[in-house]
Amino acid sequence: MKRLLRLITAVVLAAASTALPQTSTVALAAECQHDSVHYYAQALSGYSNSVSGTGAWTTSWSTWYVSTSNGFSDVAVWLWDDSGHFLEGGFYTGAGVTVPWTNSMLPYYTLDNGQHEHDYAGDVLTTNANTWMEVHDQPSTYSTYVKIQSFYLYPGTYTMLTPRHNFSQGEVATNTSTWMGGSGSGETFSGLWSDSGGSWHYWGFHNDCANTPYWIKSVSSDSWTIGGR
Amino acid sequence: MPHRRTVAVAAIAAIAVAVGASAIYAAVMSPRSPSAACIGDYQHVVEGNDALKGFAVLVDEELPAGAVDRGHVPGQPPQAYSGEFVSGHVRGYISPIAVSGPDRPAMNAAAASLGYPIGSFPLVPLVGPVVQHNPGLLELYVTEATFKSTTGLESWLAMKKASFVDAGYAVSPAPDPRIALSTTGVMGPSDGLHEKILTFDVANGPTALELDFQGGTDLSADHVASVVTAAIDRFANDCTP
Repeated sequence: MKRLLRLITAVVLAAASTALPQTSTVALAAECQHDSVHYYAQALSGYSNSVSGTGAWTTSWSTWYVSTSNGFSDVAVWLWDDSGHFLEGGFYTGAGVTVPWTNSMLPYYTLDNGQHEHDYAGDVLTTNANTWMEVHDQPSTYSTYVKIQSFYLYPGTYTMLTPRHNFSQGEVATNTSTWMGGSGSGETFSGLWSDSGGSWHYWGFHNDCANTPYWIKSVSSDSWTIGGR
Repeated sequence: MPHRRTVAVAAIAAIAVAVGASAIYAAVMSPRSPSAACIGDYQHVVEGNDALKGFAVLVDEELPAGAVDRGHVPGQPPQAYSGEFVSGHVRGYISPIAVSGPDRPAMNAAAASLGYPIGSFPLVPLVGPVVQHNPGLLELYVTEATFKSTTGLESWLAMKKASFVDAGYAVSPAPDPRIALSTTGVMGPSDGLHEKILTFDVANGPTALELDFQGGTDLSADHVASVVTAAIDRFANDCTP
């Protein structure tokens, strides 16, 4: 009987322990640095001299909401060095720079930490589709490009130094009511990095942060989910 | 508040013209510091213009970021236009021919094929036969952004110029000396299916007003000159720093 009670107790504790981490992971995500108008959910992985690209698999949005108190919502992958070079590629809805406003999902890239933004007006993304996002800078060939779904974006020659960092984030400009990651159920990413030979590898880890009410939840060493509004 | 201001400006202008008393205008429109009272009105500066007759309001929303600032990786300080941003607004207009014209069914079919729900308005920016078949103005977006100081505004204009040039838009001669930045380009390949865009940025103290005209191949500065001039006049008179 005691063995049966111990078994029941163990099963109950095991069930409780498996239920807890998901909640605690969300609650314990660090606060991202942000200003008064930008909110983030960020996953930062490693860096090395051999990194030439950052990529992620995700699913484009099927529903989203840009409210009357907002600017935009985007998700992107990043590559940057320690000398002030930043290459970002992703997709967004709402306000843009070279496209003033869109009600669809459009691919875009930025250089120099947002100083140059190019939104691609005619390249409307397919909704609810398996989506590859990639930023790539190949030092040996100076080949710089961004790929979002089937669309290639070419920023021209953009020389980045080493080492390079792998990074991804969801971003909204709002204080309320704009979905991050398409909808309240969240958007899951799987992160990869490209070596200097162009081969892709899954991330081995990621350090996460988010700004409430937006959230990020670690799924595995190379995967995470973002969401909220 | 915008409507009250519009009515007030119209009434005062009429009085000034009628009696030739510019002093009255000057007294009421006396210079003042940028304040919250000036924010949120500028997006209406194009309304009432014949060039926009029949256009529908497609978007009308606050713009917390003023300019889109996609760029805050960990450890990096915000750009000046983000750190100094106070308030902004974007108001967009779309031509009736794009909303209910003969090309709308094809636009709906294209949107549906990508999984988008069909709403009151087509997907924008407009692409395809609707652009090819309508050489004039199809969309107009009026963006207003106010910063704590001209430092933020100058940073915003620099980011805008860099982005426009990067997108292949050419910096063009300004049709009005009050315009700080004027560009023209095509929002994609020059295949007649992608809209032409004309952008005009005007600075007034720490506030910027941007007019983005989008349309077919005949769209030109001359085509929209009356809208631009009237908008700048209202922008300049309505809130002088």
